[in-house]
Amino acid sequence: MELLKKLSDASGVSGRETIVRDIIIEELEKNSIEFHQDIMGNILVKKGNGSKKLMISAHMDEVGFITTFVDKGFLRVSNIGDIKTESLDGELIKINGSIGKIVNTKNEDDINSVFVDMAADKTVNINEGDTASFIPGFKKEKSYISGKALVSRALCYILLDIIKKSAPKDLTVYFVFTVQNELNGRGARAAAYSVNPDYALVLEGENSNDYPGAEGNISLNHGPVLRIMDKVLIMHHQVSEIIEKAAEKAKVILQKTVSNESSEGGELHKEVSGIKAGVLALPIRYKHSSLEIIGKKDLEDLTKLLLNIIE
Amino acid sequence: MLLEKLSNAISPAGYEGEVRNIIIEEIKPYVDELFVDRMGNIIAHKKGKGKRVLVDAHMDEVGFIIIGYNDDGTLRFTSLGGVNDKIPPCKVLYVGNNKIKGVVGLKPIHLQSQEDRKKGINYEGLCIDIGAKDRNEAEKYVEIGDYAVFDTKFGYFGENKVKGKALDDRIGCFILIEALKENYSCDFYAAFNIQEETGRRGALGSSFRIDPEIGIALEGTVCADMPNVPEHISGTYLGRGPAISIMDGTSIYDVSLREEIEKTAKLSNIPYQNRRAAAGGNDAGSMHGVKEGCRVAAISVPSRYIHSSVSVASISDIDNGKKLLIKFLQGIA
Repeated sequence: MELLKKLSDASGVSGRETIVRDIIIEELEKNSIEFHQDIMGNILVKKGNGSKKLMISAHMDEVGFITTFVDKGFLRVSNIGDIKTESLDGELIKINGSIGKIVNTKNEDDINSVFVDMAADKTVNINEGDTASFIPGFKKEKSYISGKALVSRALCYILLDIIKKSAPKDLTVYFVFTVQNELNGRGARAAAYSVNPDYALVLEGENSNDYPGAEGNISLNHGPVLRIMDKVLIMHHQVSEIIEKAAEKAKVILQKTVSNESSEGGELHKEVSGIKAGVLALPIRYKHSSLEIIGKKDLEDLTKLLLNIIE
Repeated sequence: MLLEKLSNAISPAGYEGEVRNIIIEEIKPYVDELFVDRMGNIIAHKKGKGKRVLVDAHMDEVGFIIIGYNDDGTLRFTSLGGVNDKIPPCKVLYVGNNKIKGVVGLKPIHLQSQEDRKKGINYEGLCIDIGAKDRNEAEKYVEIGDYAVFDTKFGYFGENKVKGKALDDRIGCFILIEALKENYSCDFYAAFNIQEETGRRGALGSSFRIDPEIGIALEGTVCADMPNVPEHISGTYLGRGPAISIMDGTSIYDVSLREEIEKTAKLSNIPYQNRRAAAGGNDAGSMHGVKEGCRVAAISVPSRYIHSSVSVASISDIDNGKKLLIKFLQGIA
């Protein structure tokens, strides 16, 4: 869990994944696992020597902000990735080590009316192009884990875990830590091109609706989510068969959904001559906010399920 | 001047022939390899032993396409690329290969509804008047699918400024042509692409073929340095030098590449500014969006009133953009 805390607290918005990547590389090196970094900045780990190729990806980047204008102690920013601008007022962000408060007094869905108050005098050590993420606040309860960027980092954590534990026999598995997921899956697309797998499993977060007033059928700690279809991908039937068979073997209960979200699977499955792909997701509350919540049992179940798929 | 010829050339998205011919004639003596690919992009190569670098400018401009006739002989039309529907009214256009003059009409103010007055009239409510007496006559001169562009002529004005249509991206074409006249040690590919304005389509083909390590898009970019626009949303300022992109709708630019370009500018005393906007998009998105991707940067010349009938740019910005690109390319081993 120390590793998950480190990953969650690390700042790494799309296109600026260096800190997160370095944590992952450190972990791989510590375990003497070979890896390759491609030109986009994705990290690829290959295991096994089977004839069929499976790619499993989790993304390193998180949503956040990029500075477009510095006006004394105030910053103007643009969002990186999908953020609900209208509900940003009062959120705290971290930029170059300093904390800033987001102000959106009009509560409008217009990033141009948002500014960040750095509580600073004339000079702040921030330049146009510098990026910010939500402030870290990792916390572990008995059944829940909360913090920022869990939608990416919890899945990186799982990926690292199964890299260490798995020994594929009849498969070649490519574990890929991708960049720029929140910007239309740009990293995963490039990785899919170079790996050219037979099957691809995209690890994602699925909005969980088990809080007062929410509508939907996904709940925390009710099992990993098999995303039958989302806005950009229909799961290939062979992929869902593989997942369901493994779930039965691993005694993991799945939640199924037709999602109104997107994933890097959309760009990825159209690469080369087409890739059989699907999304396997971790239920998550308040995705893309400063405090995302996941279930500990889901984390364990998804790990168990993936190990079964690989074996 | 070459930029004048490029700006006046009529080449909307999908119909880039005229500007393509000008560019080919101009760069022929300076390149080792030159051809037009299947999509219609010009690909030019200056061989070198260093890194494979692709520099890109797009040939197409925003314009219009004829989609039907009205019984009174006027033409129905829509935009090719993004032209706000407030732009065409009361402008003169060239329609089709024969450059038939057309005028975009607008309902008199007293006939406009409250909504028309507030929101403006969209393409469905606009038409091009070519002087035809009825539909039959219009059909004789113009076919459905013919294109139309603004009749704006390039000119110099004010201190150190130019005005003309299609500065996005004939300025980029101009800078790329000039850059091809110099010598480099990098393996330098230039792509003059088609159909950027309709979704960066041409650049997909040229980037896939060249598969560069570094991709640089040259653009004419937003410049809203006008009264009543707060500085933080103006994007760029005229005269402050070429703009280096941070992020837009199709790319988040490579940090180290951006820093190298900034360093080049500082060392050579070339003024530059950051493109203070995250909206918009350009061919860089296509460059890193094929094969294994590449590191991308964008250098743009601020162009006021972009995507309209006339834009304004600063000659010193254009000149400094050219210098910056050449110096940067010469620094790549």
